[in-house]
Amino acid sequence: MLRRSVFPLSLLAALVALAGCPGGNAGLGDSCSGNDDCNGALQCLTNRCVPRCARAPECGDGYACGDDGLCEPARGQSGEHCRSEVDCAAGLSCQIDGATKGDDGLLLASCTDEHAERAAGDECDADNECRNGTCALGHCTDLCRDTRDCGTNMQCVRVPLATANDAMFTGCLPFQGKVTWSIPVLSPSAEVLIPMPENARSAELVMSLDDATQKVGAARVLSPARTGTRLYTVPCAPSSEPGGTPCTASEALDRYFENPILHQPAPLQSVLLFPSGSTPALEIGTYRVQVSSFQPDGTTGTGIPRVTAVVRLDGGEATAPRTLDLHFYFLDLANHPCEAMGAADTPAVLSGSYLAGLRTVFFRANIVIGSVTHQTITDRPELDTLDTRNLEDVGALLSLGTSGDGINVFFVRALSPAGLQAWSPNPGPAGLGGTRRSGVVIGMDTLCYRDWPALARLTAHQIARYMGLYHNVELGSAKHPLWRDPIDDGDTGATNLMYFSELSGASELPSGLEITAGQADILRRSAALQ
Amino acid sequence: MLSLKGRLILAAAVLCALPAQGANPTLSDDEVHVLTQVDAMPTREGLDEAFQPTGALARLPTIASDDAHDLGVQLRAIPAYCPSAAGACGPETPSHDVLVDLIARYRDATDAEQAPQNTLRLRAAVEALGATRSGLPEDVDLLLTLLGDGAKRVDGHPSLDVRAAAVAAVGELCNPDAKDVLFPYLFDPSPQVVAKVRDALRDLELCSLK
Repeated sequence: MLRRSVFPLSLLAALVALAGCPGGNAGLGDSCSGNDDCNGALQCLTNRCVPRCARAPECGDGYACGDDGLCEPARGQSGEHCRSEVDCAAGLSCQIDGATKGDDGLLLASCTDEHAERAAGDECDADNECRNGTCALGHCTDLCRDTRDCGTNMQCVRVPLATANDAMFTGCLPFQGKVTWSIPVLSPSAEVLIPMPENARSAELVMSLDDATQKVGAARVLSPARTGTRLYTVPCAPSSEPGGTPCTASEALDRYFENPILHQPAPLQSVLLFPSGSTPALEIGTYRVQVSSFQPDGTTGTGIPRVTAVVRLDGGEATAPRTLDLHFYFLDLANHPCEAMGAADTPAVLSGSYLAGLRTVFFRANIVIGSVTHQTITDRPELDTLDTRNLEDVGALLSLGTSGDGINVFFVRALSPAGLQAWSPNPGPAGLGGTRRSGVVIGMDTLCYRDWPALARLTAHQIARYMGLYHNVELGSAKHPLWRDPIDDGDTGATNLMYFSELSGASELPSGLEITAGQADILRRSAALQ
Repeated sequence: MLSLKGRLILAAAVLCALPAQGANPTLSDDEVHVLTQVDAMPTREGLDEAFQPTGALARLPTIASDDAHDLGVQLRAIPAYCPSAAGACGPETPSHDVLVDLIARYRDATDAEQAPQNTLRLRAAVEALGATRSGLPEDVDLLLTLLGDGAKRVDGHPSLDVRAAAVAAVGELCNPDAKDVLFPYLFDPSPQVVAKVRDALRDLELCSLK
């Protein structure tokens, strides 16, 4: 995406002026007059032997990087067919022509004069804002034929174009990481489009509303046009409000778990994350999501949602290790009732059995804990004990979690109602910092009756919920078999990390730390990972 | 403070619990599960389902009062039924009176070894009493005993968490007359308590408007 600014065009002029040959063994930095002068690993640029290219941006605008590692001038002129940005001469860009597809099934494109200001990688709302004429996933995107055409850490992948009935083009997107963009919404209920490129591992929509008397969330999700399957319908709302559909809490949960994508609208902010489980698998194509505000009785509200999309891209080996950063925030824990058990002991959190416990749990999913940061928050006494029923307070605390990379973990003195050990959004806005739900909260009073490893299990459980896992079974699942997570190799026992209870039953043995392969797969798709 | 009916029910509940005291009283799997959820408080439906056929309303006060239970179980039992059961926790109901009894018991407890745990139990009972929204002046008075009285040189509870919870509970009880008595606690040495006083005064202002 940065290829236009890496080398000035003048550097490339030397490529075309090949002449003379001092012997073909000139080394790095030696003078040369042509590629044949330099030894095999080098090419001649501006009369100096320099390393051969691996990516086109090393060559500059109007040049491609050939299979042999030599920078080659692009020859495509205005109106001529192209497949990649590197096909077009300087001053032109390769732009999609319309909805017409070529023999290879990809959208046709041609070299076109550059008019717009925004460079590849800049945020955009529409194609005509981009110099390269293509706005995908909220960013100006270069067309490509091969990953060699893209910048470092970028990958050439198939990307669907919603306006062309989901026909594909190939564009340069990050090889690994997340792409985040805002989606403008103009009414209380509107359809938004989420393009799912070839290397997407998960996608989430973070929907927000300032009016806490209404809920915000998805009303419907449809899979890409080729199948058009309904993946989600908003569950009925248990409510006695006039006009509301009669629905008991139990029926609402049934509807919730019947959906292939698990999601529940909520006041202030909610997150729609897919996939929720093993099936259906992510499809390349455009998902259509009806976002809405909701009145308490479930009817459409009056608030206009704000929507941010986050797509996790990962072209790496599915089984390779992934890294999760943790950011700890300590509220004022001085004079805590459980001080004798270490509740005010920050070093114990950062170096003792607690952190070791977290590392052990996530290692089971082949996720290693990366950087660990911590800071204290001693000037917010009103949040030291967090009343989870007060959504404004929850939002005030979690918005202090400014890091969008990794997970923000807040240690408070206690949670209200008393007895509640932890709180987290499920799922959370992974990859986004500073929102009203950007973190998980752990009450330190649990240390009065549990040990550090138990607190580690508790924290890992909440982090996993934030990252997209659900309770493996819910309370009441014996009577309601639907009330369980949508993981194919699901483990319904108390030995699982996601068991809803901290104790396994009357034996009062602590619940376990196991993670199934299916659960590990969901965790490893999270935008919270590096 | 206990009505005759309440005393009878409470006595029956305590008698039922006696054989289990000190011997890790037995709960069923379902009862343990509903009272040990990691990140959710029990709902009324969940409690009723788990405590069949005896009924949660009869059993929870017993569990809440029995220190032989796992503390995590006990802490969740203390506030479990009241918030979700309108009418079950109002004045002169057994659940309300159990909370009053627990507050008096743990406020006066002297077992230093159990001090941290008793602080948690006390805080849970205080919160739960506030959630009854009884509006009773005697409930306000009980909570004020945890806050101390500077004029009378009476110290409040040593735990700032208990004092903060007591202030919040006074606000929740929704007795508008409590506003005046809360003002002096704006000078509590703990900023956490002061923050809760401000919130409670705002809550009580809203109560006055109802």
